[in-house]
Amino acid sequence: MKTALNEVKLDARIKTALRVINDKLGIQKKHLKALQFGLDDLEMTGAMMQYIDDLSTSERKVLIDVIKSITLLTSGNVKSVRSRGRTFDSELAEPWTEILSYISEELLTYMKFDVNQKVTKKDYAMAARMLSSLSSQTNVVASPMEKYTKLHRGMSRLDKNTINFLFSTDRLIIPHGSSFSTDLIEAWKFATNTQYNTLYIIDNPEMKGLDARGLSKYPHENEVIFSGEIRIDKITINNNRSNAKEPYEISEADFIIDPKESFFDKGLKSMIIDALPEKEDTFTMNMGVDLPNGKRLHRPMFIFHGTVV
Amino acid sequence: MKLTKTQLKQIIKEELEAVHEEMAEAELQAEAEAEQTAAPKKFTYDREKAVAELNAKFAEPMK
Repeated sequence: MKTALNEVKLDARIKTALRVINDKLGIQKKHLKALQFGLDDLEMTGAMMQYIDDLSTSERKVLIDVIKSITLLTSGNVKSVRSRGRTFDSELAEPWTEILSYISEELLTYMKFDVNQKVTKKDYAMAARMLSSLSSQTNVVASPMEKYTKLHRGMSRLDKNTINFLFSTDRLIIPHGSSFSTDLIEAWKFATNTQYNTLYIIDNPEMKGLDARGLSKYPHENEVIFSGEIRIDKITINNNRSNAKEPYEISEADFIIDPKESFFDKGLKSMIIDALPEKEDTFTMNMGVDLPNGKRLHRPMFIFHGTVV
Repeated sequence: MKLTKTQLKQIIKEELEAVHEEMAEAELQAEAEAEQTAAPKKFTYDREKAVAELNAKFAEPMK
């Protein structure tokens, strides 16, 4: 591990070990899905052991920290990661074994980490430092079997003020390591609720972010921890999706908006922003809002298509 | 002082140009004012508040 100005970078050997672990877990997930089993039984294999055995003591220490960091963000206390441990209540500290996935526990135990010890403030500070760097970097040296070139995130209950902002910018900054999914259906679950509903579909050509799909306690979520800058390429709005259980016919948009279109062009962008209720108003949006061009907004899902830059 | 026909023409031309310039400026000013007064009603937003909401939402775990 090299550090410069507090930045953490993984050495190629650790990246390779992580890729091998993730590749093998990916294969196991496919088999378990095919057999319609749950994903809780991912386990360590000989190939993983071999790569871990080849690591030096200090490299293993880094790999342990990476697995601990992924665990703290995906099944620990997210707020404590954000605060670098400052808000962590040591009185409520749980042993690692309570929050680790089965496979992560197996890997850490194999690397002689005592999973019965309690999580500490220091662990959260370490995870914050580790994730602030790794979530914005490419952490693979060779292409993984299961690529993560497409990331998804859903969120609902946004203010109209935020929709106005999202319509006025073509850049999004994700400042801290945040959960994205390679699985559209998983992200969709978080997009549907009270208005305003939004979905983010992001191309990630350099596979930036930390792959947590196999090591997270919730492997079905297919999570990638990402931070960084996203260019918004296109905004689409799909009617009748805010209460849809699954993201059907996502490519069949009712409205397509160029993020660069000026509000003053009196085009679609200004027409839609102008028509949205001033305050969050589920009833109005669900019953439908008429636009001057004769079309209607009805239970809309706002989809932001972007690219990691 | 008696002005020649050419001098009179020149003065009228200059006066007219000045009036046209003033009218064009006033028109531009009115357009700019109209845009500014129209903008707050429809398209303004509190950037800080929006970014804070997005950051908080992105920080939420997916579980």
